Amino acid sequence: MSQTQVAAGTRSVAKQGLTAAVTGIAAVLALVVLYAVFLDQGQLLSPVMGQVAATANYLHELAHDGRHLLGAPCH
Amino acid sequence: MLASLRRGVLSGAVGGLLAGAFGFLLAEPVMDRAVDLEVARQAAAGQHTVETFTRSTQHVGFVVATLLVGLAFGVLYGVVHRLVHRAPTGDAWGRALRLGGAAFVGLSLVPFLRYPANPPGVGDAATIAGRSHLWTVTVVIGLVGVALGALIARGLRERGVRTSLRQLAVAGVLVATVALTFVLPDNTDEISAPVSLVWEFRLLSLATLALLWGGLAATFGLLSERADARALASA
Repeated sequence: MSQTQVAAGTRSVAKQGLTAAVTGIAAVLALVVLYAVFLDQGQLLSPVMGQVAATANYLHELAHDGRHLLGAPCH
Repeated sequence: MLASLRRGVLSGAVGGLLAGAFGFLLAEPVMDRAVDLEVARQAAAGQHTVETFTRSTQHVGFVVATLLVGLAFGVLYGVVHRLVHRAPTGDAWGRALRLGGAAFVGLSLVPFLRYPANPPGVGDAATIAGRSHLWTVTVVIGLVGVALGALIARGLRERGVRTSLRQLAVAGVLVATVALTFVLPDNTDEISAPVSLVWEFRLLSLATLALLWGGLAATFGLLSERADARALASA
């Protein structure tokens, strides 16, 4: 195998790795967004904000109308 | 994969904005009426609750939330589309619409049929954890149901079974899927809002979900048609 072939092979492996990483990150982000809009009751913000995140329920209240209209349980 | 992901993000933005605009114009007035009724009822009972956000902030939050949901669905749709369909066949439009239809049925319609959406004011804050769990179970059942339907359809097609029987088999799987969700316990929350308001809201909810998935799938179909035509021309 010539050096250029090896280089091309390395590049293609690197490209596949990058594609997998970008796809994985995008999919995880998408799931976090869906959790935040449809199910969160303060869990996502409480590590940063503490107890107030659960009482004030910021994400739930902000996404409130979307949650109702897109069919998720709300109050 | 990245091209499909990009198309998914773009399509999700279109679907999300379409649903957001529709909901903002048509559903928000209904939700405001429901909130007013709730506030009046609480006031009559001598309760006063402090809201975290004003209604107008929640209106903006609604459009943002719908756009974000559209983008997130678009990402997942793009990934699944790429995993299910590898080579272009010339039926990019049909593929995009079928996957969009399956996603709508599995993620939105099946959960909706079991636990129909309720307007603000309906729904006890004390039962939200249990209701959220049950709703999530209906989403999982819906997804497994449509995936099973798609696998069966593909298997029957490969065996040369004719269209009528294939479509009946898929319909049977979907009916069984909906029936299975009724094993779950009922939503016991009292519905205090007027029935007409509740059903007006439910229809708007279903229309918003259909617009989101329809806009997403149609945009993805148009973009894939163009990309497939290019790929087939260069091959």
